Amino acid sequence: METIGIIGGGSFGSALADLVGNRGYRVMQWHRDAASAQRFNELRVNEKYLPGITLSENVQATADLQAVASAARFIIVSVPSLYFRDIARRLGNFLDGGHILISTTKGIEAHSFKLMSEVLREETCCLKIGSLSGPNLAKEIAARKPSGTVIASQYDEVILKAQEILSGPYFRVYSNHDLYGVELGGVLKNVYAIATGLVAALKMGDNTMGMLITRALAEMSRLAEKMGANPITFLGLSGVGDLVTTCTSPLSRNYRVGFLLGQGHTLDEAIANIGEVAEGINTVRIVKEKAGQLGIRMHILEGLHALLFEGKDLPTVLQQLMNVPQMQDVEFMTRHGSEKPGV
Amino acid sequence: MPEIQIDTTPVPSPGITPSPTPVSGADGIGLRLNREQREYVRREVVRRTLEEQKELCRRSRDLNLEVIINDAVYQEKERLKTAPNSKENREQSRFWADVGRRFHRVEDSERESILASIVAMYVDEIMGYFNPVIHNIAAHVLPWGLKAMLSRFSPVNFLRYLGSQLNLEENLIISGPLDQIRGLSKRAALIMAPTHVSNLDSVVIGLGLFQSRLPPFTYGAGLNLFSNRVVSFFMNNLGAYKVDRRKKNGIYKSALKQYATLSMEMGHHNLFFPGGTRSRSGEVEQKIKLGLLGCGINVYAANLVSGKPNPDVFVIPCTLSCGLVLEARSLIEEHLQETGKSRYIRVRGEYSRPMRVLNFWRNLQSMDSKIHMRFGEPLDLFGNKVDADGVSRDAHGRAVDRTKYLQINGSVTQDAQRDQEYTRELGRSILAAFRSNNVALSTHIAAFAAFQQLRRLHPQFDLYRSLRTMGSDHAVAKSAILGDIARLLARLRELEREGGIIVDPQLADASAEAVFARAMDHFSSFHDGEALRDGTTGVYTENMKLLYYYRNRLDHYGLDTVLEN
Repeated sequence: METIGIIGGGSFGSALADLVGNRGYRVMQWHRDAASAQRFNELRVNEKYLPGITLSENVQATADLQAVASAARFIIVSVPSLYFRDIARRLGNFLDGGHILISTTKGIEAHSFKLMSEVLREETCCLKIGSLSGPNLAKEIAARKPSGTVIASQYDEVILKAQEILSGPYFRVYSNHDLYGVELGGVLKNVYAIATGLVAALKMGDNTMGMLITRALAEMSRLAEKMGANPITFLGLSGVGDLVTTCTSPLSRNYRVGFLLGQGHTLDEAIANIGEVAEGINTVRIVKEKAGQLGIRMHILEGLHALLFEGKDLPTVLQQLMNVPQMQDVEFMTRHGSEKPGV
Repeated sequence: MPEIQIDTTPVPSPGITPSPTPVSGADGIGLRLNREQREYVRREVVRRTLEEQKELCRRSRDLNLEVIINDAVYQEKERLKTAPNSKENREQSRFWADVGRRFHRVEDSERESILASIVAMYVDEIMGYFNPVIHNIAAHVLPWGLKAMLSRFSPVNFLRYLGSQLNLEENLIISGPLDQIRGLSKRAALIMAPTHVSNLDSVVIGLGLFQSRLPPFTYGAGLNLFSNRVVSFFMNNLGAYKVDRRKKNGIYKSALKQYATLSMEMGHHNLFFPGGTRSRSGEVEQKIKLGLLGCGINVYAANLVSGKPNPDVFVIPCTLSCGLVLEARSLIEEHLQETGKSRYIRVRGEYSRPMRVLNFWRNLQSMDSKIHMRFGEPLDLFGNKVDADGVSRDAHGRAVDRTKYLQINGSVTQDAQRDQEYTRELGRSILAAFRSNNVALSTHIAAFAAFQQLRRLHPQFDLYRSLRTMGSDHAVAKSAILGDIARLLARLRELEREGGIIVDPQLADASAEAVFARAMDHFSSFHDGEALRDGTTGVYTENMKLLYYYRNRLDHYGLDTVLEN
């Protein structure tokens, strides 16, 4: 029985550990502190992040990175972006070029605008690197509800191996070679979940929601294309799929932040109320700066930035948003894209 | 995924020891093979190329030998239509016409032998230094008393002679981890990967390698290089093989790769320009051709499987920087005309005239102009740096077991897609090394400052319009240029401290005025002074494209933003 490594004892790492364990693999899951690993081994339940769900018998927790690296050739890294680089570097002490590393963390490094797969590349000697991204709420995967995800890598070997390990009766794994685009989709959608939360709280209606999500997609792919990703990637599960789920699910922290803001709470109140990190708030700041450097207009993002950090009030921001120039609906289309031959 | 074991069948024939020590002349110069070795190489390249083509046919339903030959016949006939009318080309036309008549209505076995004859012809051409035609050209007319050298025909003497004629000791500044490279050359096959600026690079690099007491390298050199008789003689003498970039058919490319692979397997050190061609825009290379570079992994894998004692292949990036470039004018023209990039390759130009080259060189000498040849840190085939002991190191300096990249469950496996991605990673490391070892010279700095100033005169012009229209009636104040040069120098020195670039050591404490004066010395001596003039109305150019060319050497360092802020 092959051993699969999972770095991170959070909700998503645990949901994947259970999934892989149920597929018949031995799973070694690294927790940051030894007590938490020991507690899990006694109870088979991750009390803090995935309470009430007993994980597969095949999952074993440890606090020893080296043990994971020497037992597993396929390692999934699922730790918050804040600690990602540090943990990757420590893990890197025990890796060799044969290891396959998969990041599931949807985050971006503030000072460098680096995505997590890039951090893995910099902090380890591994080249066979991939990213797993899509509409994947940990609680639903743990509850074995049908879900789909995308494995992205430049290496066919990584894609095939990930599909072999992860796909099963309630989990479908699609492939994409556009690693950067897939990862960027997972990062950017958090921003727009805040906006849709707002719109939902204000009961603006379904037309508004439809427009918002679609224009969000336009903005995301515009930035991604400029950064070297393929905008078509955003039509897939890691783009539209993840965006729709995050933007409409009350399970999403970013959506809840937006919802509280829409109800008239301040940003600080909203953050305090959620009690967990809502990545989208930082992402707004980081992406706004990047878009400025690249000379790309991202109106919804700019509106959110004005609301969250520039002290603008909601009616003003909304009015500005409704007054931005009306551009072409679908950007990556030629003028004659709809012409039929012979017409 | 199915594990495919690498084909380990190629075993060197008797007469060639599979040792990493190059097969070389007693004096250590010139990779000339004896008759027996030559025959082996020819036979082996034909066999492997045939095997590769047949494998392609097995894998693809749409491909068979007939399609492959047909493609080559078509492409070669097209190429020959526009080729000059020479004896060699007429012979080739006859050859292809003959193939074209024969290959359709025959058995597959007959088709195989037709394919073999095509490959054999290509191999002979690639190993062109045996081609008597070339030798005749080389021996025909030679300046600088080289006829005397010819009679002695010793490569060592030839190099010493040429080196002293060109005052190389003084004019070529060689730097980088030379001891380390010398050490590694004894335990691995090396791939020297230089930037490519001018057709003269090959000569400069050849002399530079000789001067740095590095072992001999086999060159893959573009056919156009052989158009200058002096260089041609030089290249032939060093055992260069020919790469004809106009031949784009699969058979030729495959034969070329098999030749390079075999050469590395035999332990030869190889040199090829990873950019594939001279930088047309003047920029430091931004893209790498993966083809020949990718041969390294196949060799390494085969060496690991056959248990060779020294299986490694390492890559040495090498950056050449010069203040003036002989062919600058035609290069930038070619860059701007889309045609220059691939469809049209000039075989003759400024460069093919020996006296022009000599004058160019004397000019450089009179200005105390140096050519900088900087070796980067050696790399393994996966883009990691390699230390003096041959150990690969990751970005944090931790030792990396590089054999693991090719293994699955402990055994070496073949995966062409994976290996291509590895080569891409290697390419990124090479490009980064090119960038950080680039030497910023006075002409580059002054051109950058002047060009950006001129662009700002007419911000409404797009790049192409400014290149077309800006000339002597657009002048900028010298003081403005000096101010920008000062700002550029400050930023470049900062970048140098961060390891991002090298500033010409001759400019170590130079003021903006001194940099500008030095640049004007250079510009006024060449290109009829068109690139930049310091007139009464201010500083102006008579050839914006040329200015653009020299400016581009400092592109991609974020310097434009330094001037804008």
